[in-house]
Amino acid sequence: MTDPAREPSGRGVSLVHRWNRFWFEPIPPHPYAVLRILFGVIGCLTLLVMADIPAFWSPDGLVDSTDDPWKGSLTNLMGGTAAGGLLFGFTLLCYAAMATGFRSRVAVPLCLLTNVVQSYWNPLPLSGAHYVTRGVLFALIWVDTGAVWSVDARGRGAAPSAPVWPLRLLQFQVAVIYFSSGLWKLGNAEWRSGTALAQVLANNVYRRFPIALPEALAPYTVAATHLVLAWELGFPFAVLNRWTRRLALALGIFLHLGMWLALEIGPFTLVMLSTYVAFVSPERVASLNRRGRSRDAKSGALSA
Amino acid sequence: MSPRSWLVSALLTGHLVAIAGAAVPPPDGGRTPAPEAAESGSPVWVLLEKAHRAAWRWSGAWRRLGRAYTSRLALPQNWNMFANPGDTAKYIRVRHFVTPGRVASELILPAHREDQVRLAKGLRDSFRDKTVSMAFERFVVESERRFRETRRDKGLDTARATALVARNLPSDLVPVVRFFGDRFARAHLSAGERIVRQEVWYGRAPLATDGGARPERMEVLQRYYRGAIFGPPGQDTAAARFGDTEREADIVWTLFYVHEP
Repeated sequence: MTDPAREPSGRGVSLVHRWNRFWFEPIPPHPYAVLRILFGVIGCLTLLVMADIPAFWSPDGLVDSTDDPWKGSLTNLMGGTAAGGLLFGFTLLCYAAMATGFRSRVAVPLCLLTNVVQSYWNPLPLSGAHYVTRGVLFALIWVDTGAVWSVDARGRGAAPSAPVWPLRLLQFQVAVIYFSSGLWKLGNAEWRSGTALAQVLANNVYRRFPIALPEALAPYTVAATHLVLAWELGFPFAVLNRWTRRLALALGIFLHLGMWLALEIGPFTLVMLSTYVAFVSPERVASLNRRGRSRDAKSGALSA
Repeated sequence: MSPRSWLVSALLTGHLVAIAGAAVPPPDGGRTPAPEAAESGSPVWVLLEKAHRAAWRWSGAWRRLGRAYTSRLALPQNWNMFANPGDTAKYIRVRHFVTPGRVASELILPAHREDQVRLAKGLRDSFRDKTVSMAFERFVVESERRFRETRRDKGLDTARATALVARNLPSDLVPVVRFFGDRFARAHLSAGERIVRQEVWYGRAPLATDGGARPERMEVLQRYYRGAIFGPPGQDTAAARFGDTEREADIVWTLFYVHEP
């Protein structure tokens, strides 16, 4: 949006210039495409795991019994299981369209809509992963996520650049999630004393392996508890700088993968790690495209 | 910058400020009654908690506006995952009373066996566990709210307020008893038999941070893993009352909900 040759000078003007660049700098559309594909695939997989229609979608199943006029009328109109099945099928279709980039400008808002409808229909099986996904979809509806790496992009010319501000929304949302989560933990004596992580790892509802945590690891779990707390509270500040951002993200990958290995917490790990795409330089994400093309060109030349 | 850019960036900033306000958690972690401030531990915790409490006191309007805004946009900001891990293992069982005179209990939480590694089925089970846990949590929160209001509004003591609330319990556990009741009926009931009463029991046991469940608890769990446990025929169908307890190994079960279809 700003011509570098005509970059204004002066402190006040420079601040305005920085502000403008922070929100409106054009970036390659590839990060949005990666987020669309990742969250489309995660959405499909999550739905397939929840494909037990009588259990999770039929009002006669494990579905919230709160009286809701529109839920009641839909159920009366076509039968509870059929209405639940229809919602499930339509939601799956929307996520499949989003993953493949088919009519992305419609598919992404529809995914957001079905995400909200699902939490009205039956919020009981939904975890934090569902609400993180909603935050991501809210950021993606403002941009053409199908400009590259999509069915929509077939036959189109060079992809136009995209605005950076939806990515900023997502970065901020992720930082708020960690910081808020850290503040919640700060109010708990077990997190402060360092026993919380051992308790989480021993939780009989989440634990993945039926094995004892070796006693020798106890001091390490105390240190790890404080590390998690410090990392969550420090995340919004760490991502402001290029070097500390790398450290914060690397630690995040390590902690999330460790959590996934030790605990069964549904799609949460996958969802959180996918949001990290928002923190990778858009040019670097776009370079994946160029690398792929040059590899294709090389293999084409070899086969010729 | 064009006026349009100024306007858009102002809206974006407002959006972010509102989200941040809605995400500020209470310093007591949402627990009632609020625990005392961090009286022990390193000065860092004390300082951080004091800062959190001060921020909470001074951010009332910001939080309220943020919550109103995010709830209108359906973007809830409640990120309290594992904030209160607790020091007990949790179990939920449903007891079905069948006419004439048969009683059966089945373990519904956790959905998986504690003596096995959780792989692909574990992922599916995690959704069922979340559903049952969430329904139970909502039930407890609403029951506590009714209890507090009954005590306050009617000026009753704990025993009387509990008895009054027990007669009008929230309906959050209805889907749970209905779902598991239907499943039990399909598997075990013959023509002419029907479920006349269902009870939801919440079990707590010491959390085994040094390993899995104790051998005696594991023995009890193994019986549940084999399927519904049928009790002696002719058992009094209305014996247990809200708040009654039972013990199996180191699991202490408390009756939380009675449903009579």
